[in-house]
This record gives sequence, structure tokens and C-alpha cells, in this order.
Amino acid sequence: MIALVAQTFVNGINVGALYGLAAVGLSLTFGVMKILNIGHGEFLMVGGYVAFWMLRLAGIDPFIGLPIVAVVLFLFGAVSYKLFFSTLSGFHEEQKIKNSLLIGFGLFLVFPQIARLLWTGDERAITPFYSGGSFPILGIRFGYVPLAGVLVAVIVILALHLFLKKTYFGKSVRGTSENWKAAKLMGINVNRTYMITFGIGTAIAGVAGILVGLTQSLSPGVGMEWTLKALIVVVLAGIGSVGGAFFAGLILGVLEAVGAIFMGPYAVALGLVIFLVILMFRPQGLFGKA
Amino acid sequence: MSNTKRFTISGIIVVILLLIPVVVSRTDLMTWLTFTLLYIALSQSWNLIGGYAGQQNLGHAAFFGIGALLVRTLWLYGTPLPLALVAGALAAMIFALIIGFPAFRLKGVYFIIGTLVLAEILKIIFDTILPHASVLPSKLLNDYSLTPRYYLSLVIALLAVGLVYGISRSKLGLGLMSIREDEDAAEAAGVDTLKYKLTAFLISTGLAGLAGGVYAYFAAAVLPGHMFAAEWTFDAVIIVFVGGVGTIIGPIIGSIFFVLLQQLLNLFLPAGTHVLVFGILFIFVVLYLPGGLVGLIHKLKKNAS
Amino acid sequence: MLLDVKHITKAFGGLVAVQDLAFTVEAGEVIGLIGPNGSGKTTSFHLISGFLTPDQGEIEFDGHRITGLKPHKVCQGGLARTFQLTKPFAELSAAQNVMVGGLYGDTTGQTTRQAVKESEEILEFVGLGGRGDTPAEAFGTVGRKRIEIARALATKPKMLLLDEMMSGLTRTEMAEALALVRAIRDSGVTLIVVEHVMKAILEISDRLIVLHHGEKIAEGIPAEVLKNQAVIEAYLGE
Repeated sequence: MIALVAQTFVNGINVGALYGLAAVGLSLTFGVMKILNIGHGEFLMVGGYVAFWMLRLAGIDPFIGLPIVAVVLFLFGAVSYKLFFSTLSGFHEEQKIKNSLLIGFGLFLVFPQIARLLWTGDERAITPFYSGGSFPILGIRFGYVPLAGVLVAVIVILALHLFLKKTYFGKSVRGTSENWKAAKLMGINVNRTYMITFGIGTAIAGVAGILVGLTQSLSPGVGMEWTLKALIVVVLAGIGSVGGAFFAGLILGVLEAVGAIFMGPYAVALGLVIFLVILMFRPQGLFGKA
Repeated sequence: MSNTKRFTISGIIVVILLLIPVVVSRTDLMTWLTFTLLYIALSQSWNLIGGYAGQQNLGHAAFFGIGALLVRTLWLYGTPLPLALVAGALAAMIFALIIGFPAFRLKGVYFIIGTLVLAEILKIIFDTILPHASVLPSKLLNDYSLTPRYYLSLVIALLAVGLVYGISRSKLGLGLMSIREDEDAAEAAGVDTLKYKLTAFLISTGLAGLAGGVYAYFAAAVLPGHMFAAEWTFDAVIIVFVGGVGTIIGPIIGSIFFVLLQQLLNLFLPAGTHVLVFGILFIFVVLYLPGGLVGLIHKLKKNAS
Repeated sequence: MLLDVKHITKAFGGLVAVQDLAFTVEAGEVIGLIGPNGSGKTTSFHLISGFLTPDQGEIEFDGHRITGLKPHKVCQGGLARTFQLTKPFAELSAAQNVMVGGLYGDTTGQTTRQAVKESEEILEFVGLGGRGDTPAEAFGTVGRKRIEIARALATKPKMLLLDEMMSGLTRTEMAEALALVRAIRDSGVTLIVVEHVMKAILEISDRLIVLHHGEKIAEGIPAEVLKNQAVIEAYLGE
């Protein structure tokens, strides 16, 4: 019995780390630019597919190819921002949020179709030679790949945290998010900052996509599912709490895993219900500022 | 165009639509028309809450689904169709009332996401508890005729268009638009924003429930989960925006265009391409052409004169 | 006594925006509410008009307790307001803007047709006669401020809160605005005016209330208030 609970817990952490990673990019983008990108999951999907094809066509191990995916998704995100979202920065806040939702929604419509045309609707899994392997500790199975996934998630989020805290650009990102007018006066190129921030968000999403491809599977429709997960985590953590997103992701992962024992397939709805409950009673989330 | 002219043209179109089953017997054409009318009803219902009241409800599919599920269940168990339809609409509206109260207290973005999530929850629940397709029993299948389906679709479409049109010219419509433009200013001018948002929501979801009922009556076989599929919301939203959000003609033109495009593209290209095209159009409209096709036509008219 | 503000306090987190504010307004008066930036003037408006609820204290208007009432109820009760940064119904016409007030804020239950006619008259009154069909977003700052005032007047208020009517106006526009304020007063509406333009507020006010850091530091006829040491320091220090 204890073994079951412990295993469930570990499984929950494995998935939860992914949830956190998927959410971090979204939280960053919304916190800084007030753009809630419903198409966030689409970038995750693309990242996963890029890694898949790199392994399939060129034999590049997904973990080694991770930086490549990050760069590709960063550029892809930056270009997307330029094309679709930069015109919004002029609007006043409520209009900007509404429109950014619509644009994200448009991306969510378009990307899966393109993906389907390019790569067919088949489910893809990224399966390097070591996938499926695991080692036991006290009777609990620790899969190599999921563990690596957790590690990657932790490293990426720590790196982001340090980046925002310590580097000049990171500080300018925070400054722009607090008060873009003041930032502009200080000489910070606000538009470029936004574009780069967006790119960072999508790059992280792409990395999350690799992990999704490794531990679950990829298909053109996977985007919305992960956008929803990311949304739940962002709201659970509280807007603007990038570090909190990781912990909220872990919490969600564990809750779902435990819930699956008692609720079976309805467990997925559990996350969504929690989301609604938080939204209504504590909209600032667990770690966010009111 | 003057009101008399407008009414006359509409009247003529309605008469033509009424006579179609008499002259047309091709099932594919009739199906296409039935679906176009269904989309007109569905998109117009979203237009009321999203276009006129400015509350972008992304969970519209939930109400379509509730209506569809209830109507189908009741009808297959012997309830006369009109009664089932009323029940379906009421059920949708009751559900809207229950979630509307807390939902509308959420600020803008949260409402939009909240409704999206809600619809997802319903889909998951029904996918799980009703995984089997609902197929019409053989007696009904043998007697299946498109004509009554077409007429039902027409009636609901006319109801939707008429109702939204009437509201748009009324005091209620003015109040809704004021909420859309600026909720705080509307409150300061005496508009009970919560009450009117709920009112628009109820009417909108009731119509969506009726549209769902039309679909339930139409479909020979359908998966209950599919009745709650997010596509119903998304199709409605993109139709409204591409057609012209907040106008009466917009959803009508948008629906015709959408179904046409769907049929055309399905002939040569893989399924779902019409969503891609419309998705791109949608993004384009949001960024550069907020008035949609209707706005474009106005602009062209203005430039020509 | 038309308005009785009874020791209201409002804090946001650790920041106290309005502290123990108390004053009364008699019908027919024009009260000038002044103070340096951030002194709590607009917050007071939000509290009185129902957009914010005071943490402590009560507000009575026209003999009724209005503390905690929703803004639309306050408006329907006869207390209207304008906003510091104008909030027009952008895509609606000027007439439609006014009609919203006339149909929703005015509780006499007039018909749409009556509201249309009335909107023409009110727009005429504020100097926008004949421009009812123009969309609100097509107007400049002056026009938008007038539309907002017209919309508020359409709700048939007994009292009107004017928030920074004069900001961004030229000398001529300001003179016109002052004339409008006087006309509103003469029509029987009691006014509380928040203003930074000293000259304007001195001309128009019967009485001044001065706020500083959320507290009332002085009250009285303009001539005396301006000689008040605390008031001078508040403004100089800023």
C-alpha cells in the first residue's frame, strides 16, 4: 500500500515537473507582457516534433539536441511575436488581453492543421535506446527518462530564475514588466525586450515538448491539452510567480496521480475543477501577489 | 438601406428558403443548407454574448452539448420533439445561470478561460460516462427524412437571427453594447452590468441549446462527447469574427462562407483544411480587419462613393 | 443635507488612501475638492460613487445609506460621476452614449423614443448640438469630456461628481467649461469638483475641501482655505 502511494507520488512528480515547465513560459509571457498566449501549447508541440524528427532522421539524441530545439523555438517564437502580437502592444490593457487571447486562439486553430498536413495525425513518441529503462529504490520505480525530465525542468527553471535576477537583460525584462513607460524612458527597447521574452517563453515550451514526446506522446492535437495544463498551473501558482509555477506544477501532477487512483479517467477533470475553484476563491493563486 | 427595403429582401429570402425542399431533392444540397442554417443559429447565439455584450464565452460548446444531449435523450425515449427542444433550451439556460453568477464576477480574462475550462470538463465527463455512439433505432432510420430537419434548422435560425436583431435595436441591446465598450462607465451610467450580462448569457445559451437540439435531431449517429466538442465553440467564434462581430449580417455571411469553404476544400484537400484557412482569416481579421467581411464591404462601399 | 460622508477610511494593503474623511454637502452647493497628487481625491470619488467600499465609515445620500451599494444603484439614486480619464462608449454615437444614461440611470422609465429626443437636448446643452450621430471615438478630448458629462446629466442626478474636467484644456476651452459648470449648477444639480487648475476651481466653488495624504486638512470658503498654513505647506512640499 505504501509502495503504491509512494510510486504514485513519484509518478506525479515526474509529470508535475513537466506541467511546471510548460507553465513557466506562459507565466513569463503573461507576467511581462500581459499577453495570455492560448497558443502556448502549440509551441510545445512543435518543439516535441522537432526533437522527434531530429532523432528519426539524423539520429540526434533528444537530450543532446535539446539546445537546438531551444534555439529553433526561440527564433520561431520571436518571429511569431513579431508577426502576430507586436501590433497589440499599443492597445490599452483590457483590449490587449482580449485580443491576445483571440490571436492565441487563432494560432491554436492554425498550428495543429499545419502539423497534421506536415506530419500526419499519427501519435509520435520519442524513443531513444534508453527509454523505458528504470531503476528501483525501495521498491519504487524511477524511470531514467522521466527522472532526466525532472532534472531538465529544474535546471531550466533555475537558469531562468538566475537569468532574470542576475543578468542585465533579465533585469530589464523585470523593469519592463513593472512599468514599460519608465523602462522606455530609461532607454530600454521595450519591443525588443518583449520579443525576446516571448521567444524565451516559447523556447522553454519547446523543451517541455521534448519531454512530453519522451514520456508521453505527440500528436497535432496535443497543444490545447498542454495549454490547459499550463493555464491551470499558472492560475494555481498565481500570475507573475515564475518560480511558483514549478511548485504548482508538481502539486497538480501529484494531485492528478493520486486522483487517478480513486477517480480513474475523471482525474483529468480534477485539475480543471481545481482551476475553476481557485479562480473563484483565490484568483491570485497560491503564491501570487493579490 | 432603408428598413422597408431590408425587411422586404429578408422576407423574400425567407420565402425562398421555405420553398427549397419543394424544389430541391438532392440530399447533399439539403444537408449543406441544413448545416449552414445550424451554423447561422449557433454563431448568432454567440454573437449576442461575444459580439454585442463583449463577453467572449469560450465554453459555448457546453450549452450546445447540453441541449443536444437532452433533446436526443428525451426524443429517443418518446418525448415529442417540440417539448424536448424546450427542455433542452431550458437545461442549457439553467446551467448558464448556475455558472454565470460566479463566472461573471471574474474579471475579463478569467471569464474567458473559465468558460473554456468548463466546457472541457463537461466533455471529459461525457466522453467517459457515455462512450458509445447514440444511433437512431432502425424504425427511425427507415423513416429518416431530411425535410423536417431542414425546416427545424430554418426555424431555429430565423428565431436566432430575429431575436438578436430585435435585441440589437432595443434598450437591452444598448445596455449590452455599453457593457462591451466600458463596463465601469456603464455601471456609472446606471447599468446593472451583472444582471444584463446574465440576461445576454441566458438568451445566448438558450439559443445554443436549441441549435444543439437541431443537431441532435439531425444526426443519425453521434458520440455524446462530440456534442460537447470544442469545435462547436471555435467554429462559432471564427464565423462571427470573420463575418463581422457585433453585426447581424456578419454571422450569416460568415456561416455561408464557412460551410461553403468546408465543402469545397474537403473535395480536394485533407479534412480540416477549412479550419486552417478560417484560422488564418481569423487572425488576419483580429489584427487588421476588426469589422470582418461586413466591415470590409462597408469600407469598399465608402471608397466607391 | 444632500451628502453626508461619515468618517470613511480605505486602505490598499499597507497603503492608506483615504483616512477618516468626513464632510457634508448641502443641496445647491459647488464644492471644490483639491489637494496634491495622490491625496486621495479620485479614491474618494470611487468610494462615494460605489466603485470602492470603505473599510470603515458610512455614506448617506439624500437621506439613504449608500455605503456598499453597487455603482449603478448609486447612480440610479441620483448621484452621478465622470472619470478622470474619459471613458466613452467608443463605438457608440454621442447620442447613444447619452441615451444609456437616460434609459438606465434615469429611473422614470422613459421610452427609447423619448430618450432619443432628450439626448439631442442634453447634447445641445453641453455644446455638442447636432453631433449626436458621430461615434464617440471620433471626438477629441474636449468632446469626450462633454459626452461624459451629457451622459451623466441624462441620469437626472441630484449631485454630480466631476473629476478633473479641466485637464488638458486651452484657455478658451476652460472658459467654456466653466460656463457649462455654472449652467449645470443653475439647473439645480449639486456639484463636487475635483480639479488641479486652481484658477478654475476658485472661480466656481462655494467651498473648498483640501485633502493631503488621504486626510482632510482644511475646509471652508476659498479665500480662507488658501491662507491656511497647512494647505500652503502641503502644496509647497509636493
